[in-house]
Amino acid sequence: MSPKLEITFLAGVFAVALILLALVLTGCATVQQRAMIRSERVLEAGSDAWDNIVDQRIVECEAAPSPADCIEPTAKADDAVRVGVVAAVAALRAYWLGVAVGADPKDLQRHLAAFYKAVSTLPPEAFGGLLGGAR
Amino acid sequence: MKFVELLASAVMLVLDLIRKGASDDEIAEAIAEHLASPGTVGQHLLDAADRRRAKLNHLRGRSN
Repeated sequence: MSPKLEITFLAGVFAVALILLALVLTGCATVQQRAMIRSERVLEAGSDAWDNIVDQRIVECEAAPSPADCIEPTAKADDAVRVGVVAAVAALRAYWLGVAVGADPKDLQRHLAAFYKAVSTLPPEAFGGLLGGAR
Repeated sequence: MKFVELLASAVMLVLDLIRKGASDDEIAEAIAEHLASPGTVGQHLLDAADRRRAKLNHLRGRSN
């Protein structure tokens, strides 16, 4: 084999190895991104379920002798849900901004951890679908 | 590399949405939301939280 042919061959092997590495890394990143999109969908479903719980409670409390006292526990629970949702959305945005700018995978993992920590505070009766990934 | 990752992510997202029976508009919106405008992701969740608070405060106000 001539030196020129040998260099061409090695360059080809190197290029194939690079392409394979890129495919593996892309696959890992894509799996993580799909998991985040799925988690966001579950968070949306949880938000809808919590909406229904709150609406039902509002109807019940409107008929109660003291609506303010009746609705207060639900309002306090909703304050906690709001904190969790805001924190989860902040983590989601940080994650997708990180993806968009090609952030370090460790930073993306940090945003993932923040997301799951935020959703772990949400009431399981509405957001139970997320807790499997949070714990 | 970044371009390939974004392209692969968009393709997988589209396939996932098609599998779930999403419309063209929903697919376009999801891609725009996650890849073109990541800073607006989850805005509807924040809006829903605002609506809930307003409803609860309305009942509190009516009660007092």
